[in-house]
Amino acid sequence: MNTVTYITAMQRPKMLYGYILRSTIAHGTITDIVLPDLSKDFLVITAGDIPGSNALRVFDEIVPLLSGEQISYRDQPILAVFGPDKESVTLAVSRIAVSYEASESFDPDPEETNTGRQRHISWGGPQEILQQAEDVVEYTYMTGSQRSPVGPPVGAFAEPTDAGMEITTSSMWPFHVRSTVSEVCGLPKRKVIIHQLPYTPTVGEHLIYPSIYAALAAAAASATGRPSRIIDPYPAFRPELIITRRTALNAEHLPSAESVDVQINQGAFPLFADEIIEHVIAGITPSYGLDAFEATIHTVKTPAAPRSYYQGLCFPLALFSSEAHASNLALYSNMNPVNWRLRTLEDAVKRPAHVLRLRSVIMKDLLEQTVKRSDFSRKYAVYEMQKRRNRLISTFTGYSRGIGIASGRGINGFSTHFACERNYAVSVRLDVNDQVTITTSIMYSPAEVLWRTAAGTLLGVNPAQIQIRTSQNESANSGPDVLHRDSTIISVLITRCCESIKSQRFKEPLPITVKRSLKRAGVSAQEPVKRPLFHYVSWGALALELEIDPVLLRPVIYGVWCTLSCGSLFDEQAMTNTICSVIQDELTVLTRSETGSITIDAIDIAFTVHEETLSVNPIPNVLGLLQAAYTSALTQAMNRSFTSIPSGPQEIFEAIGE
Amino acid sequence: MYEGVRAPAVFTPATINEALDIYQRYPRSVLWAGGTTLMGQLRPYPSHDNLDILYLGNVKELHRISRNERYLEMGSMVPIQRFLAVGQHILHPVLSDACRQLGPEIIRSQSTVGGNLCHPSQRLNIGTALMVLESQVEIRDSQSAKASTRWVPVNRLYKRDGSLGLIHGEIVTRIRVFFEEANFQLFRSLGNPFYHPELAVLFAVFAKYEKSTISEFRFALSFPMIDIIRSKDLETAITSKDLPLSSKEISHLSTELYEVIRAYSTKISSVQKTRACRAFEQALQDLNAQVLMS
Amino acid sequence: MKISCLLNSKPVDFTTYSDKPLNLLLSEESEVTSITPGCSKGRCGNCIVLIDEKPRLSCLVPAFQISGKSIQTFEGFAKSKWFTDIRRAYEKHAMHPCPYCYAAKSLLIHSIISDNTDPSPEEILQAMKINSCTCISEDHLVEIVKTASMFRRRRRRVRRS
Repeated sequence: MNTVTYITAMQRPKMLYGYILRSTIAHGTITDIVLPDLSKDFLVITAGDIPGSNALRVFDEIVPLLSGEQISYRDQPILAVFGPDKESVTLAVSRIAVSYEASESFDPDPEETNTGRQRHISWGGPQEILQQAEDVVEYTYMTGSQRSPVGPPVGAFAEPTDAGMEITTSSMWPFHVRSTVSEVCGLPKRKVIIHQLPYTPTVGEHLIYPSIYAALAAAAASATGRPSRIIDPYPAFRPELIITRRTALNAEHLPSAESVDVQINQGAFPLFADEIIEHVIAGITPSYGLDAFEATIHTVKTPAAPRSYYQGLCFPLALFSSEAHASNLALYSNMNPVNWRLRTLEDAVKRPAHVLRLRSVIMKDLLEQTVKRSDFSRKYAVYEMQKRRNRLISTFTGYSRGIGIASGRGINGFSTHFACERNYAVSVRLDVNDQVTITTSIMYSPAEVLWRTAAGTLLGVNPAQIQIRTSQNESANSGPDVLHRDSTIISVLITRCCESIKSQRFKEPLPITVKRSLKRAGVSAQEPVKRPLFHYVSWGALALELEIDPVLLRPVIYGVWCTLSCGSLFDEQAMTNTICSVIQDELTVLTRSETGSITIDAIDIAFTVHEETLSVNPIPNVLGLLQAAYTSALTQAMNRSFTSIPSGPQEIFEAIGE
Repeated sequence: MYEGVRAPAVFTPATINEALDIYQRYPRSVLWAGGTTLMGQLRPYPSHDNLDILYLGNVKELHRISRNERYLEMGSMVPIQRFLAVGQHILHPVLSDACRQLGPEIIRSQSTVGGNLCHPSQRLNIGTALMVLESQVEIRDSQSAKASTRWVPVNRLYKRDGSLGLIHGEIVTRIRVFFEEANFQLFRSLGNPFYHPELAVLFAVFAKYEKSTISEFRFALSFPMIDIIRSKDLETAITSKDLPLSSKEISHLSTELYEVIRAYSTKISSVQKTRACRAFEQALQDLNAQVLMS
Repeated sequence: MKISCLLNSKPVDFTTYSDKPLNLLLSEESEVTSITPGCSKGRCGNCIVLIDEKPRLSCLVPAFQISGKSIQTFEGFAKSKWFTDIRRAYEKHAMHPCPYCYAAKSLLIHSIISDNTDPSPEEILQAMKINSCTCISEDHLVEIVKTASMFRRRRRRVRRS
């Protein structure tokens, strides 16, 4: 049966059910908490009741697990109540009275805000060119707030046993769960045993929240000796970016220099801020040629819930600004955006070594394929003619259609600056009767299906018969399993093991066991780096066509055409399905669909292989390209510049200006 | 189940009189029809109000559908899907479209006509369609010494401020839809009244014309969180006009409608106003097209 | 409140809160594990069960309404011959719903092909829209339901003959 065990299935007799009481103010102090009369069946845990340290540590950033007196953001956890069943706990929490003294303004310490959270990169001295240029084009791109859709619940179950504290949760970073429980409960790490449940699908809510819930459940289990479970439907949030791009154009109306300012709102606690900045640098570096470029990226604190990983570490949002800007520059130069791109593509010879390399040959090929399949040039010309009639969208006169295009390269995994050591180990064992067992250092990965397919293909066995196990001995903290980083590296190691077994087969007696491992140390961002910032790169081009419904004022998506080059795929059909699903979900968000999942007449995905590399996850790339193509299509349809995402009926109404 | 928590008591009367009697004795109990809105929107579990439940699903009289030459009559607990199935050949298209656009079959099978009509804070599909059909509802009162019964037009079910006009203790028991021929009927759900009521508009039209002259024109616009609007003045202005209407006439009527909506409430959002006027314009254009093609 | 009903053809008794949603009742107070915890507001369509053979969103059904009813979850349905038609359709197209929506989609497909021997693409998409998971594209979904419907027709034909 193809079903999954969720945290809700974790139940024991006499189990305690937890509920988190969250702040109703954004910034201020708690003056009083009045608890109702609760029987001995209930347990209340406040910041003062934490047996160890009231801290959630994510590299050098420390977030209080429970708020204490100071409230830093709305919905900050204040206390947790545990009781005999979910209903009684929920009702008990509703009777708790918290008094606050709200602060009028949020004024974070500027020094604290900026320390290590700002980066400046430049080459070629753009300011001089910008000052002297006659034509300077400026656009500001904004990515609005976005919360994760409702998905399977996130939670943790803790059970005190003779061995220590056993935790069951679905975490993208089980090592972080272990260290947080250890620190919060004052237990040695070896006494914290993690059992991993699968997580699917997720945009980021399984990254940090499981550590918080596991620590609270473990604190309750420690205090009472009873198994405890806490489930909380709190969503993950996407960081909000404001990206201002100023571009100097030369006499041929082509870009010569550009200055970019990026402000990243990460809420009250900027988690993964340094890594986010690296991803933003990769995303804002344009595909078009420039003599000079500079970018300043800085994070800001706001009294909002912490926001970090959400479908990536802001790379798609930064790529959106680059590609939407490219289309706007083409529009400003009165050129077809495809011709403009083909003319301005460069191989990045002037860029510093660590910035993403570009391959104009690949980009041109992908663009041309996408243009052909979407009939872009003809449609673009027709819609331009419609636009020039300059009629406002109306119920009866004409139509309002647009087509947008974007092309670019995507990244995979963490940057080489990521401050976490990487240790990976894989062993593959081939037994009699074609029994294959793969043991990895990753506790769970949604890529297990791909690993099975890869090993099955190489060894000529049925993928369904392959067993995948996790070795607690070989597992090591390699940071969170996001962005398919771990999956890609493990895939490489599995492939190497299988190739080795293949060469030994029929020469050596069974069973044959092959082990491979990889160890990489993190490099400080301050150190000079000569190698690329990201190891794995994908390439893509995407076109999107839409029409504005004249009554509902909402975009109707006619089609999305996407061509990708992301190495050799194990399962092209599975990847196509995943990308179709991602496109549909993202467009539901981008269009602010009121009626749930939107219908798209045609989604056409094609893959080409330009580089014989291992499969690279193209989804961050697809997301950024989709966002850029969407706003470009809207811009053409409405004859008004759209530079913010999401953009739905309200924004279209404002653009019409009725 | 923890002993320290009291679960709501559930009353399951089998007759209307029994239901009215219980309602009189437990006036704070929640009337429970299909439960789709209560469970999904109004009453998150576990409920903090802990009110008892008066479930009407077992009252047989409220599930009846009957018809005669003049009207179709249905009990308020008839599920919308059953109503659609039973009345598929006799229902006015405006009403059947209102039912269909309510949601997928799985939701329609559970939602009831009465529940949709008597949402405490939102004016939804069925009410909007019944408004242009000038239907009636039967209201029974549990509070008076002898349970009283009265038939009122649907528009009197709602107060001037758009809230539900039932006095405490009253239950809507039957809905009566009169058979009436019309040449043009339309129902459109613009947006989603449940998830984004601040943008949504429900629009219903019921029109008759003879020899290219409009003899009757009724329309209703629901702004779900506010009210259902019918403008008799505008309806009168359209009635007796010749078809096809010119673009200028349509534009003029649309502007008038905008003024009506603007004057009605300041809470109606700009997107709602625009959607309402554009849907109205499009309906008049469709009416034109129908006449020209006939 | 004490509630008696049939769960996957077996009589069961629950002592529970009267207004507890059926999805929570089944996942917390029975052995059922196929109900995907979701929005609990009737939006995601992942908590579908069959009540007296009809599909229902279990998050919108209070416990008191199931008294005396027959409830079938995916666990029970997966053991029936009817599921075979759907499983074979998945296999034929080499396309399976994700684990998140597998149970709900399978029960929905069953309800479509039980009521309608030859559903049109519009009818299929209209009925399937209640499930918001986009793991299978609409085109593929139509193909799968059509194929499942064909298997179901054949099964009925064989039984009649």
